[in-house]
Amino acid sequence: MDKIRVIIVDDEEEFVQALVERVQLRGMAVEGFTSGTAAMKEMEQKDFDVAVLDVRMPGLGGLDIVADIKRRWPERQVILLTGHGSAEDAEKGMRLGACHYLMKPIHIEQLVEILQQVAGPGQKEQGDE
Amino acid sequence: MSDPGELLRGHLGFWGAVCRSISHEMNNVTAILIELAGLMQDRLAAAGGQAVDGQKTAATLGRMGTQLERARRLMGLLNRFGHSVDDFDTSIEVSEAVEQALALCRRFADLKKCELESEVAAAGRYIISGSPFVLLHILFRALRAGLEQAPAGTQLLLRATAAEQGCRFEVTGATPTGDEVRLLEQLVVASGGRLLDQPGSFWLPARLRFPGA
Repeated sequence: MDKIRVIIVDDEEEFVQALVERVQLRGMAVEGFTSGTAAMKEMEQKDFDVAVLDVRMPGLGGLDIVADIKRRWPERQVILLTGHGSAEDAEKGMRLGACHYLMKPIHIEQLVEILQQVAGPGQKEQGDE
Repeated sequence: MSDPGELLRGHLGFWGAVCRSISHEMNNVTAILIELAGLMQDRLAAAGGQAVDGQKTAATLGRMGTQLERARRLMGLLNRFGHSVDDFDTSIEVSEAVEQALALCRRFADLKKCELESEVAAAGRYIISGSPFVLLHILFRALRAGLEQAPAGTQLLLRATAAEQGCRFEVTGATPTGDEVRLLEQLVVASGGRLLDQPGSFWLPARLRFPGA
């Protein structure tokens, strides 16, 4: 069975590094980025199933990226991460096409459950039809 | 002419912006610490009762220590900011106020990928009397006005120089624009200061008035 391919983007490097390893330990293929621009470059080169994006980042923010992803690759899923007081941004992101948003600090099992829901085997098969 | 209502909204807006910014960053630190602690638990679980890599554990503990130090710095910054309203007529060392304003504005600069610097040599031991909160508010607005339209990579310099029984301040590196400028101008004038010809420059007297009071 193919692994779920995940891209994590957050300007907090320590957060990205730890989360990448934790999701990898749960059997997914994960790459982490600390800038939206670098992540978009990678997304153009490589296939992925889900992008997990911080809403507020220097330069290209999560809302800019979610709009671009859904315009270019509508089948790919986006989960947004927000901090205090940015729930409105997250709602905006949902309108732009994100499938979920999570408040930081996140619960890893909740994130993994959502990743499996939106990009697990059943979802992939449906997408392949 | 300054509008007392607008000045009050400005003071509250400044207070809110600082509290939001610092608590947002504290939340990020908490999120990182939770992930790092969770990562150590995950590694233990993955090892299935075998010894875990000691070097990796030491490195992760070091990363947690760095975040705890960051949290301590942020709490210190917020605490000091809270104390800025303890006394409305006290002695304020200009160099310390400049450094504190830079620290309060740092995250806003980071979000715009800009850098903040200060130059206070000429005013190093210069004392202004008045409200520390008001001086911080003025310096914060001056920096935010400079950041408003600053492109990524801009280096803003806040310079303080003793001048004419007061202190001259200037923000260089970007032209101040936007609503921040209008409020900055009102604050400076209502504090007994005056705007100088060069955009982003103003003079404050040795004894500050409390704007809006």
